[in-house]
Amino acid sequence: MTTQTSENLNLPNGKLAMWLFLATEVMFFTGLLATCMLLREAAPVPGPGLSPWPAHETVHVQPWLGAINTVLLICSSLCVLLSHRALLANQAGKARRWLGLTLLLGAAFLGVKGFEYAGKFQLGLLPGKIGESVNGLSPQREKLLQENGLSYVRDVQERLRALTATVKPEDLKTPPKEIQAAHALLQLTLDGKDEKNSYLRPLTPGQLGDQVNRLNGEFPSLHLPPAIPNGNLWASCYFVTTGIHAIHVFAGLVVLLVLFLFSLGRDSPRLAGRLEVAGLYWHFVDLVWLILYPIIYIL
Amino acid sequence: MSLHQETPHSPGFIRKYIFSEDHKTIGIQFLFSGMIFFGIGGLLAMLVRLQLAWPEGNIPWLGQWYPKSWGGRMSPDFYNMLFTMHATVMIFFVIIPWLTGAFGNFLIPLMIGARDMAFPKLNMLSYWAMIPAFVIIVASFFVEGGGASSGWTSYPTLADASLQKPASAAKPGEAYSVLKDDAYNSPAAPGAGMGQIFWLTSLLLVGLSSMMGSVNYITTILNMRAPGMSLLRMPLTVWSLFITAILQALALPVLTVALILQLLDKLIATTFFLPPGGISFGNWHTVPGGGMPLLWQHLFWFYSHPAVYIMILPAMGIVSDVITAFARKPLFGYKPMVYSLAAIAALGFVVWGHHMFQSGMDPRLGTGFMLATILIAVPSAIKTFNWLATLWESRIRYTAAMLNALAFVSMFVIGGLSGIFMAATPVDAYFHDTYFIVAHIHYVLFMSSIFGVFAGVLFWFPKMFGRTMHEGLAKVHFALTFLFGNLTFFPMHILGIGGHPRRYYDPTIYQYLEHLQPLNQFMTICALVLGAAQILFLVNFLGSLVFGKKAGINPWESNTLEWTVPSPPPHGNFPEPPTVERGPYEYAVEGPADFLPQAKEKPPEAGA
Amino acid sequence: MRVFWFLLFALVNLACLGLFVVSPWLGWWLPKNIASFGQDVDNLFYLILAATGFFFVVTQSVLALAILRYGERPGEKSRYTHGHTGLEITWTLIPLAILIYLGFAQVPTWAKMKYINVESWFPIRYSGKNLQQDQSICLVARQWEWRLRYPQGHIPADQNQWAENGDPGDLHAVNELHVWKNSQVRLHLKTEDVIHSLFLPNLRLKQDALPGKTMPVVFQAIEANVKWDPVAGHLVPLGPGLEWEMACAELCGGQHYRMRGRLFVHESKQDYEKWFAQALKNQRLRELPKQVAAREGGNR
Ligand code: HEA
Ligand code: HEA
Ligand code: CUA
Ligand SMILES: [Cu+2]
Repeated sequence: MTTQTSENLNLPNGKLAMWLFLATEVMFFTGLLATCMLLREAAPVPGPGLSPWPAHETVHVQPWLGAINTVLLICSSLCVLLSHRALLANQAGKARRWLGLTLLLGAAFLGVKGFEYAGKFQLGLLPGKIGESVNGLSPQREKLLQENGLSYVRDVQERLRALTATVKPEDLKTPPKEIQAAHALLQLTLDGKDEKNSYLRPLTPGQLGDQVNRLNGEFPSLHLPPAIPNGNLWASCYFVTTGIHAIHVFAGLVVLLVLFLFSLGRDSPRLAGRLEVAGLYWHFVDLVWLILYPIIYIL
Repeated sequence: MSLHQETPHSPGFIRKYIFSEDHKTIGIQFLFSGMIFFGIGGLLAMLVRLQLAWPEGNIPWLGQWYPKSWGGRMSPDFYNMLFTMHATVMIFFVIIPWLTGAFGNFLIPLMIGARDMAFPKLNMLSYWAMIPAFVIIVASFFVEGGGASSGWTSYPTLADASLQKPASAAKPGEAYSVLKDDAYNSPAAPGAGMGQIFWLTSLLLVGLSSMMGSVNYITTILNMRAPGMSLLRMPLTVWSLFITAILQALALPVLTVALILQLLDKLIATTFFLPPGGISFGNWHTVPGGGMPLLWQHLFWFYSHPAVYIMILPAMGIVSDVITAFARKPLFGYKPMVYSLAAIAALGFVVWGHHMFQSGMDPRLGTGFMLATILIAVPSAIKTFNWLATLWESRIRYTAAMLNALAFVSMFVIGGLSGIFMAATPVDAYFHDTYFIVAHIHYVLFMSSIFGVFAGVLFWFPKMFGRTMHEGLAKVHFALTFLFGNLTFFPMHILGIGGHPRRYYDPTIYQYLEHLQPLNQFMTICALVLGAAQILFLVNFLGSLVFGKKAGINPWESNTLEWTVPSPPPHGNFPEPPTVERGPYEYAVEGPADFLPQAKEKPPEAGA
Repeated sequence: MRVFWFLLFALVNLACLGLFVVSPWLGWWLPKNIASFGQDVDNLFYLILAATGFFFVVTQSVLALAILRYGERPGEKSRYTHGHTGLEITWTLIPLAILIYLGFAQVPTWAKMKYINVESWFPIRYSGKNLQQDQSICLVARQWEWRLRYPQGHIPADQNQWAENGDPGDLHAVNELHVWKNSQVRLHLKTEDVIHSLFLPNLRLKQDALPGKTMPVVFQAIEANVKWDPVAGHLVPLGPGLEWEMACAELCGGQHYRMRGRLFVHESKQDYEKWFAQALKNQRLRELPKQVAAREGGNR
């Protein structure tokens, strides 16, 4: 005669459900990361000899910040483990301290993340807001882009106007050179006439992007908004992957915080089981970061 | 462990019917809300049909209801919204909630001999995540621009375009207008603005609900089975729900990714599904930095193809149980039936590309997807033949539930066979996006899945409510549905062969389709009768709740565990945990009764 | 009642079968095929129709017969059986064999349609084919029309470059696709906004236009429907009912159903060239004022 235990899995419900949930999470992150990798592989090459993906310097990605975060998360994973160990050994106080440390490390992770994000916001490195010069477009499409006010052109114009606003026309004959260059570029973005008085079209966004990047190289002090080929795609991928991961970290922190508060005062025997399940999740979040880190910060 | 310790005081009305944690109540909640949405989705379909039959719009009484600006006829954008919302409602708010939500919840614990789901609270949450989804999808009809209108597949860039205003409209110094005033309106289509955003949000919530549900089901089935209920003694309904839950757990997250990415494209101007170089609609131009429109299709179908099996496997399970119970014969080939379910599910993961043969995907990939798709017919064939073999040399009781189950078998064959045409790449080049597909959709979804649901409802209604539904009325409803369903949907094959594209507001402007218009009118008339016939089911269902004949514990003389507890079962289901001794299909056995229940005979004193 | 249910199932299915039998006679069938690969496609359709038709008849008959024969009778029980391994194997292997055949039977036609060669059959491998080409046409879809561009001399020197940028001498047309009989046509299919799908029922052809991509579409029409009338100086149809249409098969917004175009297959290359010359002349007359204006502007 069979008994109940022999029919069913030798796993508590909570743990089994967490494994199942993590399976769905694996599919989720696989889908997400595969999407971003694919987009990156398929990103159009902006020009001969150029890499389709923005370099770290261009988009201000700091590998060392990511590295700090990696260490923080690994340590916090370890702390959860130790806390669980301590609980099993009936050392509630020690467990609580390890758990508290986990919370701190997790919060620090989010802090670093927030710092990174703040930088991106300041620089305007946000999806849909990055200036792009689009190469390889037909003149018609370039024209469309131009006429429909690709904001990149407007942004550059604004910056150039601001730079040259205070400068009187007579000053333009003498240096500073960069102001001269800025003024010249501004003229090129507007409708004009040549010596023979025939009409000249303004620069297309693609041409403008090239000019801006050249000027930026020559005169870094100008701080013109750089044209970053595929920058918007980069920002989309960056914010979605790290953002969704950060949300997961946040959710994990909430759960751990609840367990932490729960552990105060009482030494519940059920806590160990719950902490183990929550820990599984926390390790998973850590694992995702270990995959995310090289994709975003190293490759 | 006895039930009586657990519920010393009966829960109040609110705890019992609204915030219930009892799997049976939650299942019934899913059943009822599905029914409301079936009415909504059906009415939308009726409007679709009316437009197709009389596209010039001379429908006197209907014309009055349209806004004046449409000139007494439906507007094309409104038509697009109709079939988009029709499909969305039917798929995400009717079939999936009915099959996995209603039957999954009600049946799993009862059939495996558990007191409840593994996580009753999570179960309650999974229904309550549906409520905002319901609200949002209904509200989306009324937002500016109307409900989503890009088809239930919501392909970018039609659905996805995120835009910046033309230069002329932006004030000087104002860089971007995404996220400002009317930026949510899309120039691609009126319904692709706010309506689409609501659509995406609503589906995200549905997904959340399904995810909680499936984790719960899998855990329950793996861990809560009664003693003796080994995996290979589970009724096929449970098997099918189990495999469906696995499908859902693994496929759904990918849809979630797709939905999130499209939502972000629309809200914060990311560019996942917009091509490099941007696209232009007259004066409007999207952000240039671009992703891949085709990627959405891959992500969407990676979920939505398995989803079509999510929408049929539970019905297959239900039908297997109903057929054996009324054929009074053991299921023919239990193990092949189980393995073929699993095979369909497994193959279902590698065939999504068959929706994309003409999409610009590499044609060489198409061949691989074609071969995989065609292979799915093999496990489907196994199932079909085993059902037929079960019926052979049986003794059939022609109850309404049985008739619906038989109709399932018959109709699934038609729907499945039409799938083979479309699976063949060269033939699909012609049939893709024609009414041949619409015929296929409705044969598998309406004529199969819904018949499966009808069979299941008729079969388990006594267990749910303690009364039986009216047999006569149910049979009239069945006959009408079967007849008019076929009359409505079968001619769609012919339209498809004639080359009638789907999602067409007015086909009559094409010469090569002109001679098919009488068929369209015929189908509409039949569809109206079909729709009206559903009222019979509704009346029967609601009426039987109050006036139905009282049912005993086991009105159908069936074997599975749910028929050993009172109808409706009390909170906690089983007064004593049952012990299972045999498989679920012991009919036609020796002895005075021709059936042998799964559970061990209780000692006499336990019944009191 | 037993007989009633039998009749319901049997007659409904019979009616379904009957519809497929009578439809060709009523003209509700595949439109006339004019594509070089069209006959292959149609044959495959009939092949699948035969296979599925066979299984349709078998399964529905068995079902209907079971309903008729095996009604409940007092005192009688069903046969007690749990299955039969031999049967299971049979009805797994037979469909499997048929299906594998059906699958592989599609391969050559698919290759023909997509202009590739089948290199090996298992695993199926393809290689590109060099297109012997007579005509190159750029087809740009947008909400909601088809814009066509025909090059002078039928094939431009650098096709990809031409498809992207065009030539000043191109002939532009809206919703009118002109080819000549038996010419190997290559379309460069593009879209400006959303996904559209080029559907030519008579050519058994369908191809989505993907934003940001240029899709190659290859076909050869083997029958003509118009000829050039040298006296009147325009095209005349070759016969009644020879109107061939072009539709959009992918939902693309409100007027999706209205992206109707027409396909003109000229009797000969000479006819086509006469039409082309005339059309180009008309276009020049229309465009003259605009071109004068454009010449004034230079580019930096
Ligand atoms: C419950 C839902 C359901 C089910 C079960 C199926 C089952 C199948 N579907 Fe279907 N399908 C849909 C729902 C479903 N589908 C929907 C909603 C769409 C449209 C989406 C959209 O674009 O909006 C679609 C679209 C769709 C397409 C895309 C068409 C296109 O857009 O161009 C294809 C192509 O391959 C396809 C194929 C199949 C196949 C091969 C099966 C197989 O599983 C069928 C297998 C069954 C049988 C074959 C019958 C029984 C077998 C026998 C009797 C044995 C003998 C048979 C032979 C030897 C042939 N389906
Ligand atoms: C489970 C899924 C499901 C179900 C049940 C149905 C049911 C029906 N469907 Fe639908 N349908 C789809 C899924 C489904 N459909 C999908 C996925 C598409 C593709 C969409 C796309 O292209 O994006 C589609 C598309 C679609 C089209 C094609 C539109 C187009 O391409 O232009 C048509 C046209 O005839 C149609 C008709 C019908 C009809 C007449 C019913 C009937 O069976 C409905 C009968 C039911 C009722 C009527 C409700 C119950 C009745 C009452 C509560 C009483 C009140 C009613 C009256 C008084 C009439 N459907
Ligand atoms: Cu263009 Cu539909
Ligand atoms: Cu599919």
